[in-house]
Amino acid sequence: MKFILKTTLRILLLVLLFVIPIGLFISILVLSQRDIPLWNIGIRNVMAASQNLFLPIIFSTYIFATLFAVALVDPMKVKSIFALHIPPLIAGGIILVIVIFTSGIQQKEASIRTGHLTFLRENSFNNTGNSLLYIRSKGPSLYDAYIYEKDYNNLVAATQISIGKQLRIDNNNRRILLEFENNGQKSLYIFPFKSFVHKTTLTQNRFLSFYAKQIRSLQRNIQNEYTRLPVNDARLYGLFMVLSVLMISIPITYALNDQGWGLSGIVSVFLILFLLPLIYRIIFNVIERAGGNPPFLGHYSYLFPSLIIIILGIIVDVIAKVRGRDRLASTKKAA
Amino acid sequence: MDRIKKNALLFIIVSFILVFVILFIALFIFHSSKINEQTLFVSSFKTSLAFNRALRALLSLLPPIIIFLFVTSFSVFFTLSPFQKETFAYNSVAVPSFAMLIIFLIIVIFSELFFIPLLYKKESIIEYRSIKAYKTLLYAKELYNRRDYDRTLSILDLYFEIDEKNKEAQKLYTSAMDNISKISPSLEEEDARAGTTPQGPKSYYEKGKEEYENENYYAALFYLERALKLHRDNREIQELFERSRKKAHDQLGEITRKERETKNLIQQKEKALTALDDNQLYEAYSIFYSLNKKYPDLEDINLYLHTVTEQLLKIDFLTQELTEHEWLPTIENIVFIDRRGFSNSVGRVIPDDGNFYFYDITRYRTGYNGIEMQNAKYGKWMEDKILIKNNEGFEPITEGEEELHYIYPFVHPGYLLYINDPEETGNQLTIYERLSLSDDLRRSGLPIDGRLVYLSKKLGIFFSTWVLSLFLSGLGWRRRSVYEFPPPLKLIIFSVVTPFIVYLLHLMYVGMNEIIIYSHNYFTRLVTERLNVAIWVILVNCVIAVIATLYFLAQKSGAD
Repeated sequence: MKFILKTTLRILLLVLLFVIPIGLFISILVLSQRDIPLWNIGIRNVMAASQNLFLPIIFSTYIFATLFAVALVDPMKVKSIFALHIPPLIAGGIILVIVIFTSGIQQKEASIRTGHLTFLRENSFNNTGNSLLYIRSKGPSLYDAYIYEKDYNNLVAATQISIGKQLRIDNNNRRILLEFENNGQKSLYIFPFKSFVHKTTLTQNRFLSFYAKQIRSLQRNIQNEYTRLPVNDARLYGLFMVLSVLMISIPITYALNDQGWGLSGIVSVFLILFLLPLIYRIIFNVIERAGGNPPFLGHYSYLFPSLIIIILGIIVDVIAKVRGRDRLASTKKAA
Repeated sequence: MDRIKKNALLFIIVSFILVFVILFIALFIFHSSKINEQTLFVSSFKTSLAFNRALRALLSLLPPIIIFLFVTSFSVFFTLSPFQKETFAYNSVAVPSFAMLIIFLIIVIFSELFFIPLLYKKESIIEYRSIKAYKTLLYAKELYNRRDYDRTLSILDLYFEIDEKNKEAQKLYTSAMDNISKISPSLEEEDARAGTTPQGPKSYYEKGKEEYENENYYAALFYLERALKLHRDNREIQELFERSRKKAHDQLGEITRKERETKNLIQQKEKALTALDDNQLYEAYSIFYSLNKKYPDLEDINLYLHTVTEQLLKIDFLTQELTEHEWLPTIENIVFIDRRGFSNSVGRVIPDDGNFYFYDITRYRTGYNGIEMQNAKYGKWMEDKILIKNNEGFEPITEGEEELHYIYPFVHPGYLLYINDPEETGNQLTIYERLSLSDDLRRSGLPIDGRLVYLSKKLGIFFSTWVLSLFLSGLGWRRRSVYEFPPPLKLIIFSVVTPFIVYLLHLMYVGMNEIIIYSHNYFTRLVTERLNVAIWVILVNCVIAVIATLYFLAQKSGAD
C-alpha cells in the first residue's frame, strides 16, 4: 500500500514538474505546424494555444510522468507487475477529476490572434516564396511598401498603405492581402500564411517534424472515430485508448528498467514514446486494410484497436512476470 | 597525476577522437554520394566539397557529441575496470572531465563563430568556381565555333586556372593553337624574317626617335611631347621635337584643301592636351574621341585617346566592359535598400576578379512627393558606390546629380549577392563581420538578427553544451551502471537512443534560449529598458549553469 501511494505521489509530482515544459513544447510545435511564424508570436497566443491543447498536454505529461516513474522504480519493491498498473490508474483518476472540474475553462476555445506584425518584419524584405515584401512605417498603421517579384525581376512601390484597408489579414483563408492603386492602376497581391517561412531551431528539425506528423495522423484517426460515436460510446472509446497506452507502455518500460543501470531505464522512456505512435499507426493501418473493425464485438467493435493493444500489454506483463520469477529463482539458487 | 585521472582524460580524449573520426567518415561518404557530378561541373572539386560539407556538419554537431560523450563517460565508462579501484574518488573523474569540458567549449566557440562561417564561404566559392568553369568552357567552345581562336585561348587560360586536367578543354586549346598557326605564321618566324629581335622597354625619347626614323611624325610627336614633360631642359629632345613638328606640319601643309581642317585639328588637340593637363578627363576624352573618329590614322591621337581612357576607367566604365563579361555566371534578382532610401532591384550581378557588374537596375523611392523611379541598364562597383548608366561612352556627372548616377549601398556588393537569402548570408558571416556589418545589412533590408540577438543565440549553444553536459553527467553518475560490464542489449539501446535524446535536449535548450531572448521584450516593457538582451540571456543562463555545475560537483563516489 505504501509503495502504491508513494508511486502515485511521485507520478503526480512529475506531472507538476513536466507540465509547463511539455505544454510549452507542444504549443510551440503545434503553432509552427499551423504556419504561424514564432518570432513574434506573443505570450498571449502561446497561452491561448496551451488552453486549446489542454487535454493533449495533460495526457502527454501524464504518460511521460508515468513512464518516468516506472523507469525509476525499484524492482525489489514491486511485488507484482500487475500491481504496478495501479498507481498510474489512481494518478490518472485524480487528474481526470481535475480535468472534469476545470472543463468549464476549456469549453471556450481561445483564439489565436494574428496581426500584420506576426508575419511581417518592418524595414526588411520578408520572403514570401516567389516574392519579397518590404514595409516601412510612415505613421500609426501607415506604411510604404515595396514588392519584388523574383521570377520577373519586377519591383513595385506603393505608398500610404493602411493596415486593415490596403493591407488585410484574411484569417479564414489564411492569407494576407495587399491592395493598392498606382497611376490609376489597381494591384492586388495575395500572400498565403505558409509562404512566410521563418525557421526556428526546433521547427526546422526533420526528426521532430516526422514525429509531429505521426502524432497528427494518429490524432486525426482517433478524433474521427471519437466524433463519429455517440457521447457515451465516445467516452468509453477515449477511456480504453488511455488504458491501452498504459497497458502497453508500462510493462515494456518496467522490462527495460534496470536498477543496476538507472539511466538505461530513463533512456528507454524516450524510446517507448517514440515507438508508441508508430505501433498505433501500424495497428490502425492493418485494421483498415483488413476492412475495418471485426463485427464479433457487436456494438463495441470500436474498442477493437485498443483491445488488441491491451492484450499485447498483458502478454508483455506475463512475459515480464515469468522472467522476473526466473531471475528471482536463479538469484535464490545462487545465494 | 594519479592513474585514475589519467585514465579519465584518456577515455574522454580517445573516445572524442574516435567519435569525431567515425562520424566524419560517415558524413563524408553521405555527402559524397549526395553530390551530383553532373551539376558539379569540375569533378575534382567533389572531394573538397564533400570534405567541406562533412566537416561543417560535424562541427555543427559538436555540442550534442560532447554532451553524449559526457553522459556515456559518467554512466558507463567511469564504471569499468580501469576505474574500479579502492582509491577511486568521484573527484578523480570529475576534475579532469570538467577541465576537458572547458577545452571542448572553447572549440565549440571557435567553431560557431569562425570555422563554420568560413566553411560555408569556402563551399560557396567552390560551387561558384564550378559554375564559372562550366560557363567558361561553354563560351570557349562558342568562340571556337566563331573561329575567334585568340580569344578562345585567352578564355581557356581562365578555365585552366580553375581546372587544369579537363581533357576536353586541353583538346580545344590544342586545336585552337593549331588553327592559329595555320592561319598566320608564328611570331618567331615573323621576327626571323624581319631580322628583328625582341627588345626591352624603351624611353619616350627612344620611341620618339624610332617613330621619327620610320617617318611616323605624329607618333613621334606623341612620344617626344611626353619626353619633354619629363626632361624640359634637354636640348636633344627639344630639337627632335621641333623637327618632328615641322615634318608633321609640312605633311599637312601639302594638303591645301584641308588647311582649315588642319588648323582646327591642331587647335582641338591643344585644347584636349590642356584639358588633360588640368585633369578634365571627360572634356579631353570627348575631344580626342571625336578627333580619333575623324582621323583614325593619326597615331598620336589614338595613343592620347588610349591614355585618357585609361585614366577615365579608374572613375568610370564603358558599357562594352559589361557586355564582354555577360557570359560569366550571374547571380540573379537581388533587391536592397541603399543609403539614399532607394529600393534597388538588380536583374543580374556578375562578380569577377574583384569587380562587380550590375545589369537591369530599377530604383524606387517613396517620399512626400510620391514615388520616384529610375532605370539603368548597366552598373559597376567603383570603390564605394555603384555607377549606373544607360549609354555607351563616358559621360560627366554634374554636381547635384550624383544621386541619379550612383547607388550608395550600405555594404560591399560581395554581401549583397545573397541578400535575398538571409540564411545563406547569415551562415557565411564570421563573428567579426556580424558585429561590424549587422546594422548595415539590416538597413539594406536583410532580415537577420541584430548583433546582440546573434550573440545571445550563440550563447544559448554554449550554455546548452555546458549545462546539459554537467547536468546529464551528474544524472548519469547517480544512475550509473554497477555491473562489471553493462548488459549488451541495454548497451546497444543506450548507444542508439541516447544520441537522439541528447540532440533533442540540445535543440530544446537552444529553443528555450530563444524564448528567453523573446522574453526580454516583456522584461524591457515591464521592468527596465537598461538591460540589453545579451546580458539578460547571460544572467538567466548563468543561474541555470550554476545549478547544473553544483549538481555535477555535488555527486559522491559511493553508491546511492
